[in-house]
Amino acid sequence: MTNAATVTLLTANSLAFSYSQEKPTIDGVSLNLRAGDLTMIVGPNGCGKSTLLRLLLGELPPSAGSIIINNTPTTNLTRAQIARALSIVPQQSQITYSFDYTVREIILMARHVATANSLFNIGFETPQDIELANQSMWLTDTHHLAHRPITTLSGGERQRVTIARALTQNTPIMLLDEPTSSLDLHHQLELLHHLQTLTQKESRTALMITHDLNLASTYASKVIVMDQGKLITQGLPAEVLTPEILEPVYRVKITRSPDNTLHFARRTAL
Amino acid sequence: MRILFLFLFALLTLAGCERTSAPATAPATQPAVPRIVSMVPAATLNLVLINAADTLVGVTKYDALFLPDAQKNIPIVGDYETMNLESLVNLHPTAVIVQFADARLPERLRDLAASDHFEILNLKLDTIEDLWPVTRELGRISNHQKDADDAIASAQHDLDQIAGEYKSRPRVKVVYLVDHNPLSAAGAKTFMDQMLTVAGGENLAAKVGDFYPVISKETLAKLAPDVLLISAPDEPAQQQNDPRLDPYMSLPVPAVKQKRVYLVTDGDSLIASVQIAKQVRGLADLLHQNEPLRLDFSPATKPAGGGAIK
Amino acid sequence: MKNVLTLPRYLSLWAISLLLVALVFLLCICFGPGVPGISAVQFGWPTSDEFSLRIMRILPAALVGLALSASGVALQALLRNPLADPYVLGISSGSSVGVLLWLLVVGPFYAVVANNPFLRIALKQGALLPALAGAIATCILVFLLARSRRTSSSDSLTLLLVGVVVSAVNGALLMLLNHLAPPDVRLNLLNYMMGTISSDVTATTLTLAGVILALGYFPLLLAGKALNIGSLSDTEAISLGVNIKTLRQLCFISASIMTAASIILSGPIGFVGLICPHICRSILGADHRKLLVAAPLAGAAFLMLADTFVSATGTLFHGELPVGVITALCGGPFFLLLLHRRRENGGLQ
Repeated sequence: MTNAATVTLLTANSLAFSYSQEKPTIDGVSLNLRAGDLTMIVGPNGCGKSTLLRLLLGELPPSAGSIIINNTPTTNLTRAQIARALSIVPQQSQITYSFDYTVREIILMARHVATANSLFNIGFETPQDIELANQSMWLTDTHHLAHRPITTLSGGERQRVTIARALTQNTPIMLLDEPTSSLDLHHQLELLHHLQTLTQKESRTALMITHDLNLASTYASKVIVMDQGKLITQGLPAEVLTPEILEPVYRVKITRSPDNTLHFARRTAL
Repeated sequence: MRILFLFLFALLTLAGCERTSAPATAPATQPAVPRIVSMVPAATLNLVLINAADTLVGVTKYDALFLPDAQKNIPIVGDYETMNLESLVNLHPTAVIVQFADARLPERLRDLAASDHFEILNLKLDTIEDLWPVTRELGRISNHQKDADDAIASAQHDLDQIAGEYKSRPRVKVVYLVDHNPLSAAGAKTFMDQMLTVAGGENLAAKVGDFYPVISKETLAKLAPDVLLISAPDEPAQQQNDPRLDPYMSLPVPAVKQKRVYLVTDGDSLIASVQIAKQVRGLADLLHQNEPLRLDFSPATKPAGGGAIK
Repeated sequence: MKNVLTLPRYLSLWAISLLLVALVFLLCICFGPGVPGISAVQFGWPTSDEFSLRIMRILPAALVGLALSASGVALQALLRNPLADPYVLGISSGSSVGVLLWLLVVGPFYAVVANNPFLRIALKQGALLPALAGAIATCILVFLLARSRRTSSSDSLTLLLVGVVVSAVNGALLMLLNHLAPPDVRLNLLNYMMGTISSDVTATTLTLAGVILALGYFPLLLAGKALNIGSLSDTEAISLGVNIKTLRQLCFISASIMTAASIILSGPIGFVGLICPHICRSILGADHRKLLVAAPLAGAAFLMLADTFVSATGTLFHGELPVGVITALCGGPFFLLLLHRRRENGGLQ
């Protein structure tokens, strides 16, 4: 539920980016992330969702457009400053661990940026850091894994650790790239419930990529549909998650049942 | 299966046939003009010393120092580890001098010796006593038997004389260093060891090991030599406060305290030759001089081309 | 609470590690080669002469061990792979190529400057610059070759292959340069390439190497937390506020500086940068803040012990072994074990 007095935490203006010369991966995407919003991005494979998140993070440089955080363009912000405003849960498949850090060590790494302004900060953990980490671990049901080396955990457990780390970073803006891909139903719903609480009660904003349209329908306060690098439409779930909008994008047959659940079937004719 | 066995058998037989049972040396009669290829610097030097430099047709890359000016351009056939067999054969030698352990003498060389009719002279030159038969052989293959016998007699006489001079004196404790990083010394079973002994010295490093063992500074300190000789072949003569001695002047050995550290700059100091008496005399002078470095001391010089031995 | 690093824990880690090193030092200073012909090995408190001789081996050995182990940690974080080490990757031999080039170039000038002590020292210590250049060049080359564009970490197989090839090329360059050098400049190459603590180490060399080492080590020490984060993927590092580009440069320069300092004091010595970080990791965990305290000091202790072993057995074995023989004999099988375990635990990744 948005109202005119809500603060805009991040604005992206006409972002463009391409990996190769032939076609643009992101083509003129503009969006606003407002406090209190849980925004979900949906779209087919390869439409540029993950790339968009990496642009917002500042990992990739846009070929055109700008990103404004707290009224400052990100080009004028240091890494540390961006990291105090924005955290990300990357795609689980992109994360490999070369060393056997324990779960607690990994989660506590998120507290580095809270006090550090340069590389040369040993950063002994403060009681607040430890407390924040503990809370995140309870929330993601990873507290019992605190002393386990990360390499001994299952995919779903690792994903929860990554989520816990982002939560520990305690930033107003959260970006999440398919954070439920390895989670079972229980943990999926726990996460989404918590994201709703965070955004609504603590005036944060979250931008999440998901393939699960019903999840988006239930939990998102705003949905963005992307296809081929362009932003097709954005708005309330009920407005956007309709067969008229989704069918051309996903190329499946979509029907909505009376209880607002979406049903999908293969399309046999064009 | 049987064909395979037959094939292997045939292969082995052929291989056996290739190896001729030619002896390592050819018959004793010498052709009119000797043409000698020397792959051993000591042999080259000795041939020069017995006036047989003109019989050389091929040398190693280390031999340029010994050759008289007239022969400076003798072709180089390699070094004691690798020989260019093709260059060697093209020189049509009558004899080839090498220094290999028996097991390592290359078969190909033996084959070439049989097919091209040259003699292989495989030197065994480990001790001073070995010098005499080796020099005699060199005299034989170069048709300079008389020069060789004269050189041997002269050397033996001089060595006996030197040994006699120092027999009654107490032996001088010495260590001969060949390299400084890592520190290594001439140990037992080396020419230097023998020369030092004849010169009236006691080679302390012989107690450590054979050939050229690496020793630590502490071991050197424990050996406590009174004289320290540093190998510096073909370098300029030693100066007062010579900086080349810096690495050694901090060693806690009596030699340093007594300032008896000498560079041995003689180019042939590590090579066994019939002028050994001269080298031994040079060493003896270094060992037995009782005062610190005499500035005008000149180590044994290289031989002039041809001419008398002494 | 476990896995949390607080200041008291950090300080006690320092204290314990330094104590260990001190104990090893005391042990090593009591060993020496036996008197030839009389005793095999000597054990006992040293006389003042023996002390001054032994200390000029033990201190360089400690510095080299420290440098190699710290370098190993930096390279492992940089390349995101626990099998990286300056010797395995050919960085040590690359630094040696620099030194040998220097010797070749300045060799003829030694005679000229013989009477000017200042210039002489400059010529001798000047080898540090080409050593550094060789190390940095090789480091960058290895990084570019071993790194996967997509994941920006390096898999073990690629890393090892790059290391093998680079080492071979550097070895060939060393042989070539040694061949071209005049006889009095030439190294005893076989001995050198196995690695020996130089017997030419003077107080000046030691101090200079120590300063250079400190310049490489202390920034790394302070960046421990950033190294933890940097050893995750690029995306994670950026998102956690670490400037990954700067961190990478720090690791390069630091590892190169420390490798160069160790090359000046000894030839390329193998596997110290592999064994010591690994052992410390298995005891203390992967946190680089702890690792950068323990691993370098463990490296110092290890190399002091290895060098004392070869020194004390110099009489017993009729000649002194290069210390690299010991580290390779210990490290080689250790490395294979490590590789085997990584393959067992899910691919060469």
